[in-house]
Amino acid sequence: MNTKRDYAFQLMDLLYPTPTSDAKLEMDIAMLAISQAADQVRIEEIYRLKSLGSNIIPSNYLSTFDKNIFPKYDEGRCEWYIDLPAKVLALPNNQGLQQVAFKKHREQVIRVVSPMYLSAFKNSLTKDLDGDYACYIDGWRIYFINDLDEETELLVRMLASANDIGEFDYFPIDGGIESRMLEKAASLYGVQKKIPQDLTNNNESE
Amino acid sequence: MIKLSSIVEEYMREEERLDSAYYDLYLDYASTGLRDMSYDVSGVVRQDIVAVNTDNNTADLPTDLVKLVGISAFDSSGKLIALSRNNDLFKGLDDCGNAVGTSSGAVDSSSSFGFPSGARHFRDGSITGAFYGLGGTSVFGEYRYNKEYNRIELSTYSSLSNLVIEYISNVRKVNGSFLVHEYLIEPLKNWIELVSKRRKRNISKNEINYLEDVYNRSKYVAKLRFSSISFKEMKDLSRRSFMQSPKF
Repeated sequence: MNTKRDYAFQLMDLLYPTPTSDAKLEMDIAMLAISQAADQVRIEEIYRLKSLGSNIIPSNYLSTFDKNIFPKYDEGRCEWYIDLPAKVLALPNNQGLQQVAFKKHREQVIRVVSPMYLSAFKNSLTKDLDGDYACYIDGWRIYFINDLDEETELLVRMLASANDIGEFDYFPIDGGIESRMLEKAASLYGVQKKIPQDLTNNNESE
Repeated sequence: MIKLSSIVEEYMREEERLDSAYYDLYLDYASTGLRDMSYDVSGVVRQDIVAVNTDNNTADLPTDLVKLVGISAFDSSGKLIALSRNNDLFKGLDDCGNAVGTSSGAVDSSSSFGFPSGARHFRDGSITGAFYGLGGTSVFGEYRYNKEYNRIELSTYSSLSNLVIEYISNVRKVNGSFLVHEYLIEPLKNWIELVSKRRKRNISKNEINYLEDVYNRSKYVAKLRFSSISFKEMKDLSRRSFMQSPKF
């Protein structure tokens, strides 16, 4: 199974088949290029599927975080929160944050709502969401509208920004869009290959 | 009966939405649909006892009242006896805006018949007549429905301490959840579909009209189902009213 690092190697191989002294793409930059291209093609593919009537995000594109995610209490706001394990890709109505659940009781739903939920729904008959828990993204945190405790372990499933995914972790992309991702990354960084560079500091491009 | 949230989840599965994005909006739309249908499809006449403020003979109405159906008193057998509606009743207000009795400053309108014919037969300082015949009004008293203050104002000759009000109410929760009749599932799902699209600029007028038609049709079917009556129910009703006395 390919990781971000594998794709970065492939990109470097595409752009510079034989390593030479003018190979200007370093591994970190290659991984960044792969991440940015991966985010773009995933979003494009999700919108393509939406245009066909499907609102389900392919499972391959999702990342699940379930290790040691425990709520903490924000004294200033009097709300429980967890730190976002990765940046969420933006889709309408926070669809990028697919699921926040109790790790051992995943059937108990925690609804993802807008940060303005409390004020926008204050006069709604359904402001308590029919008894369900609710949370919302605010910056680098997910805040909860209901009370939790420090012992409750949570699970987060999201369309995570590929840049926040470790180089050896599961990379949320599938074979159907791999080549498009590499193509985008290569077209972005292929430009610099053509820029003449003075490699030996003799005021001549080589 | 089924929870409103279950209907919303069912709708979202049909829409292929397995995450909870849009759930808060759809649940809100569903509750407004429930309200819409409670007016003319699923609304039941609710009965409540309200206490009469005997200082000024008024009774505050519930805040969830949408439409008043009737006001009654009840006898020891539990039978309801309707009060008469009279829009000519008047309650003064004190300095704080509270209703007060009308004993001070009221004219003496008692007639020689011993029947409280009321101020309506006083014209230009003289008695102009009386009711045709006697009676015709409830012996328990008369009331006026004061919509401005959402209260019932009773005539001074009524001495009731409790009233039974029958009214169509706004939707209510049971144990923190909306419970919905099964007949309303389809209309509610069609309502969510309609409401989630009707204000969108990219949705054509034709599609909105089509969704409105679909919703109205399903509402009509639900109404038919609610009003259907079985043969046995019909027989039971006919037995009850099979009496020599005049039918009402």
